[in-house]
Amino acid sequence: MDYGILIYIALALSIASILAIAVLYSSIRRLREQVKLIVSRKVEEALSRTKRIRKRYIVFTIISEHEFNRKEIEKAVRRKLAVLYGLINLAKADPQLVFYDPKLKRGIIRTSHIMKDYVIAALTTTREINGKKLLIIPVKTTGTIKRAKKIMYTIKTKT
Amino acid sequence: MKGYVDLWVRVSDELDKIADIAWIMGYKYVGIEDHGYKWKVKVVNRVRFIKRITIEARTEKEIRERVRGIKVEYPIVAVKPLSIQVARFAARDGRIDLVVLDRDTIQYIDKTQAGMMKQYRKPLEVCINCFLKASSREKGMMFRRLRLFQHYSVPIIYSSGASSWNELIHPHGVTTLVSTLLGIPRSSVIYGLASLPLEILVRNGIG
Repeated sequence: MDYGILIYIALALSIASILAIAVLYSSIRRLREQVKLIVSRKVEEALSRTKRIRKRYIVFTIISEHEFNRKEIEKAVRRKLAVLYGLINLAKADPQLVFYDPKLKRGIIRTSHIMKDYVIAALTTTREINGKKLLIIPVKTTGTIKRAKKIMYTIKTKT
Repeated sequence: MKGYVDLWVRVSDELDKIADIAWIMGYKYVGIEDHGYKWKVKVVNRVRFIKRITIEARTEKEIRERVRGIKVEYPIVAVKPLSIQVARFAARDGRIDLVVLDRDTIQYIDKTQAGMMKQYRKPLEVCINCFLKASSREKGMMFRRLRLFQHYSVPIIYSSGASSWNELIHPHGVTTLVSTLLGIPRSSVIYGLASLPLEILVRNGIG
């Protein structure tokens, strides 16, 4: 029997297997890179996706002997917010006095859910409007104006 | 919780008005600066007013003299140190309840003071109105001190330091203001508004 042929066959098989392993390795590497790319893209997309900004309604009450109108109150709160946190945060918060009852001296301020703490801080540190002393007390924060109005008219201040 | 405590109000009159507003805000105890009152504790419209003294001293001799026998008359004793010696004395003396941090005392409240106050469990009192009225430079200095004291886990008490009724601050306002402006956790601010001052009052036989 001629062993030479068998040796050649074995050699050819081993070379073929080495080549096959090399091809497989490169294809796996390519696949891994592609998977990595897809994952990173998804992460980037997830990072770039901003959360929806929700509205918050802050019910407040005013303690003062004087009368104030809507514009005056909103202006004072905005000014205080700008002094405390700067113009960028003022733009982000954008507090709007959506409702004010001068008889009850209570009102509702609309802002975003991320900036509500800033607005509350500005409300509580507002001390006077046009030289008239006042104190603003935040009563409750809600997610809907309907509920805010309900709270405004039903809540009793401690007496 | 037994309610919030404002340990420093400087108003001399209008106690009824202050009591009404404090009750609406949720304060049950108010430390009031002495204006010749004959009482130690007085209940006005369900709010307990506690007489307090804030001593300003420059030398150790002066503070030693002024502190002698003070606890008989005043349940709360706070010190505004105007020198390093007074600050160190205030940190270790058992008759003194609080060390005040405001515009006049910023420079004497340093790292060593924080270490001593931690060792003796002496609370630092932060006057919110003093902070709001301070210049930007002073605000920055106070901010750095507060962060340092927070890092050293020194107990911090927040009080309004109100000199008129419209300077009182709602506890929720204090919490949001301090947590947003100074980056101090909400829970520790609430602790400094309720439990910690109440501990001092209980230690002094009130509450």
